[in-house]
Amino acid sequence: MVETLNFTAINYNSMKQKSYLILMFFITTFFYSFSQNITISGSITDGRNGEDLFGASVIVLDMSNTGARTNVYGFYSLSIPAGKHQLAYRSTGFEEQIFDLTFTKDTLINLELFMSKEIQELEEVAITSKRSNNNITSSQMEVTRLDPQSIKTIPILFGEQDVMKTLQLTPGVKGGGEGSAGFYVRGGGADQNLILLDESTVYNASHLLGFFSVFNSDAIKDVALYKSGIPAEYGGRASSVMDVRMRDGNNKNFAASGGIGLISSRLTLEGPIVKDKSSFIVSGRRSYADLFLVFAKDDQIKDATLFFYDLNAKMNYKLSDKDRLYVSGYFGRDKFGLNEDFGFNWGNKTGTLRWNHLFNDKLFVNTSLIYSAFDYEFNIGQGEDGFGIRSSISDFNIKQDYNYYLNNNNSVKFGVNAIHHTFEPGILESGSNVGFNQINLDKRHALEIGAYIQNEQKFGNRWALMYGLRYSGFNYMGKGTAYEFADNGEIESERTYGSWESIKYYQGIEPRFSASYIINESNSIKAGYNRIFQYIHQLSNTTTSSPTDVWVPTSNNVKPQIGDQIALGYYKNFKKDEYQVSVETYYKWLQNQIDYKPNANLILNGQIERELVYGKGRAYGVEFQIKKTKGDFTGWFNYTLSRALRTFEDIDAGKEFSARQDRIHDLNLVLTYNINKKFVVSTSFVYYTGDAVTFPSALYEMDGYQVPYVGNRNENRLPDYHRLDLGLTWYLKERKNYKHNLSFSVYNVYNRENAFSIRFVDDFEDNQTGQTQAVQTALFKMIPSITYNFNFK
Amino acid sequence: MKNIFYIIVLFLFATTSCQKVIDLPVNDTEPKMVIEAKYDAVKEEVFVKISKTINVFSAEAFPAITGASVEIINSNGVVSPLTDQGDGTYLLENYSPVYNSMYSIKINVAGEVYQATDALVPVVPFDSLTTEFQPQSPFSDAGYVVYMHITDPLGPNFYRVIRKVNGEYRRKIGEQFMFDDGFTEGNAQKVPMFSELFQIQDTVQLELISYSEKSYKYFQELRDIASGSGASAAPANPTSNWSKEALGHFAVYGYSTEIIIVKD
Repeated sequence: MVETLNFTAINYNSMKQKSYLILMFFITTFFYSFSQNITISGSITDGRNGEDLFGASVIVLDMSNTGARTNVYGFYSLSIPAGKHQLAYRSTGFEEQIFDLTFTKDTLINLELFMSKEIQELEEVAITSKRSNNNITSSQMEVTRLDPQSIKTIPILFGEQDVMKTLQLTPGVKGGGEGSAGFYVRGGGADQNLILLDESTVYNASHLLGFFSVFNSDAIKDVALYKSGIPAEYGGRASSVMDVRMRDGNNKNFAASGGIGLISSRLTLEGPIVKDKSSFIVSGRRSYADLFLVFAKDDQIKDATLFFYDLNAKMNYKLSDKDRLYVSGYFGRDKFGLNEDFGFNWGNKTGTLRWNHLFNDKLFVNTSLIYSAFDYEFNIGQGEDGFGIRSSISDFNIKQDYNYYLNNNNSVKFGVNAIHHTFEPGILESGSNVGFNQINLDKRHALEIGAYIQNEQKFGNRWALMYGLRYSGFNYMGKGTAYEFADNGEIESERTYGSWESIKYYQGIEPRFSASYIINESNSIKAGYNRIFQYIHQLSNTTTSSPTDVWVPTSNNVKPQIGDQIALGYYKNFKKDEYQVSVETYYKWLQNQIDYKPNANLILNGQIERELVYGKGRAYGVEFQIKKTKGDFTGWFNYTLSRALRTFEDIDAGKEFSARQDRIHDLNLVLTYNINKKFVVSTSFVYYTGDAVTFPSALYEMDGYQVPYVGNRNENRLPDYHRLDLGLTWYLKERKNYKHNLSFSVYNVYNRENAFSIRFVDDFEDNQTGQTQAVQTALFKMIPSITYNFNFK
Repeated sequence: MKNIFYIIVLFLFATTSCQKVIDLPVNDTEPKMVIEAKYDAVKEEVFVKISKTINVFSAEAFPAITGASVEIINSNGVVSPLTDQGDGTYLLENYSPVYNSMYSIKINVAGEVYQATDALVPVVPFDSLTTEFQPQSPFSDAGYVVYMHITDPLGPNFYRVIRKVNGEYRRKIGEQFMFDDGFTEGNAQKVPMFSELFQIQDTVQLELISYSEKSYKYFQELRDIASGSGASAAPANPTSNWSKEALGHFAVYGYSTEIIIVKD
């Protein structure tokens, strides 16, 4: 039997915060067998728009070290003895709420938190009045999190706050360099990062030229980047996980926000479908990077098209207190074209269907059905005089994740995951006037599965452990043909398999571990270990990542990559958490790394595996960071000293060499200053050791040409990279329900030509000296931009 | 095929980029032996050039190695010596070819012996040459493309086209046109020579070389390295066929020649 009590519009008097709080409070009580402990559970949401708050906490003030955090869907569960308790609900950027209540039975409390009036005025800047020492107390190490408040305050580049660009300013994360889409985490390869958007894999996370990520910050709720101690619920990429969650959409009011800028424009529309129950959010963005081409000298290039667009759409529906349904999708594309004779385009599309279900107040489950695909296309010429090349990868994924709040000290997660991959390595179709045969490389198929269990356990007041195990398996299967190659690349044998017939099965056990010891409120030490198997690989034999890089599965020839990492960190806060200092060190071992035979051909190659060679890698480093989180002046500074090394039997006779991303010194400085309520200035400075590259070490003459003698792999360096960006945001006069600002930014303020590539050319300057010269190509000089941003409710 | 992609990617960046000469340190290595050897079956000439490498930024000329003993040996074991020209090159003329046979070369430089072999594959002739007008495009001005009509025999074939326009050989590394029959095996092909567009009245002479697979691979790798694109992440010195460590290659080849004068 269930007794329901509805309380509406209770004004709760609580210490100093009385006038701010209007609380909607539903209490449902259950008859339950008498037990000493009762469970308090529910969801914590943002009172303005109904968005779930991830990582919000409930603390029992009258008990030591007792509390719970909400999961990514805003759900929490707390077990405490029945009786009188004082509960505090908190979330960064929100005003805390405290309740004195007597509990006799399991209780459901769904709470809305609000920002205080003070905070609302300076909404664009995060100010917190309570202890914000999550970085000390959380047992999860090596997570860089951008929650909604942080996202609002990241520096604006090209008029937008870009989460990827911001993450690249944090320690351990290095951007691929100008013009490059990929990024590297702690010395790992560019394909070793799992990028998820609402649980769907994003294969290419950056648009053309690497300036903009595919993530439109207006639609993003939360971003978490795991660099080590990676939780067991994630698998498949050896170095990091970037988990991006979209907002659900304001379920109370309609709202619109966006920006119009020199380089791109965006618009987000959201609102309730059924007030407080269901909402939607649609977010679109389009660039007109064609403007860059205005600087080109050639007339035809000036007329070229160069743009990208992103579209995010999401809808959710609360079927009941126990069930919630979500549908979300992303579609984005980059297009480059020179009239009708040449076009190059690529992009991702993803779709997710999710169902949150509460079995009871301790067991929460999310079930998801996901589709994700990436493809690129080249078109040269038209009709019978032209040809086109296409390549793609697509996934169907089903997963189920459980959160079981066993008791106060133990929070268990377990789940299963299955992904069906289809690889389409290449199709060439040509018109009859072009002498190419039609090529249709066989599709390749695989099934990737995972199952995990993990517990987050607290011991007393100081120790917290997260330990788990993940089982991963990969079935490389037909329909298709599998080849065996001799050392010289000749095909030794081939065998054809039927649909779903297994060609080769690999499996691995992946232990995951993370521990923290809280010395006191301001100091803690954390350590972590993880092992991860990676079954799909991105092949790129050009020096920067490009959309034409090929994704290939593990197979009878290619083994899974294995990453093992240990990490240790020390964290200290000063001046009541205003300054946060951290020192982290790590060591990573990588097995079954892939490299290429000289002059390997990766395009339209039906036996691409014969071009590969295998080896191992290691990476280690120490990262130091200091953050100032409060006051008019905020920002961070970090410095990383690290190495990323590789060893391949087939390269330089097994001598260890630098990976391209072996940037020994890496320094980032980000500062934001609120001049007053109207103006905020921000700056970022980046410095890193130039990439490791291979230069010639001698010259000779052959066949009438001057030929460079290739030196040892990656023994040389590009010049160091450094750059300063500046931004100024002018908050214009607010009207009722309408906020707007004008944002100016300058990229590469002192106009440094950072090297994109170096070529050795005979007499480039035509001085007739007969001498070879090193010629540097730089991509971007100083680039200014203006954007007008608005927010309308 | 692969080149197109590099061109396109670099092309995107070339539009707003800037290039300049910079000072950069390199790790110069000690000089290595370079031996270039070729047997031109049509001219019936065997030519060898022996040299060494120089430092990357050096302004010196490439050294010439004289006084070596150089011999070419045919498939019957008959040895024919080359004459030292005194400038680092060695020559043998009027050496009649036997197609479908193996040749080896043996070089003795100051007691070090270098050997290599290559196969002389049959020459695939041109059927004909034709031209077609191509209007102006972002890649080039308007002009005529020469189409080579070849009947590709069954089995792997490896080609290189050397062109001579209005009496001048095109020698720039970026202008070398090489292709195999991977895309068009066994067909009567119509291969466009995109490397250059011609104008009316141009006299274009094409030489279609048929290489052995090993030599084709070598010249492809050489062209990739010598064109200095720097785009490959796995650069390596071309695989030479010398028995002892030396740069360069021994290639044996014949070619068919065809001339066309561009008309409307």
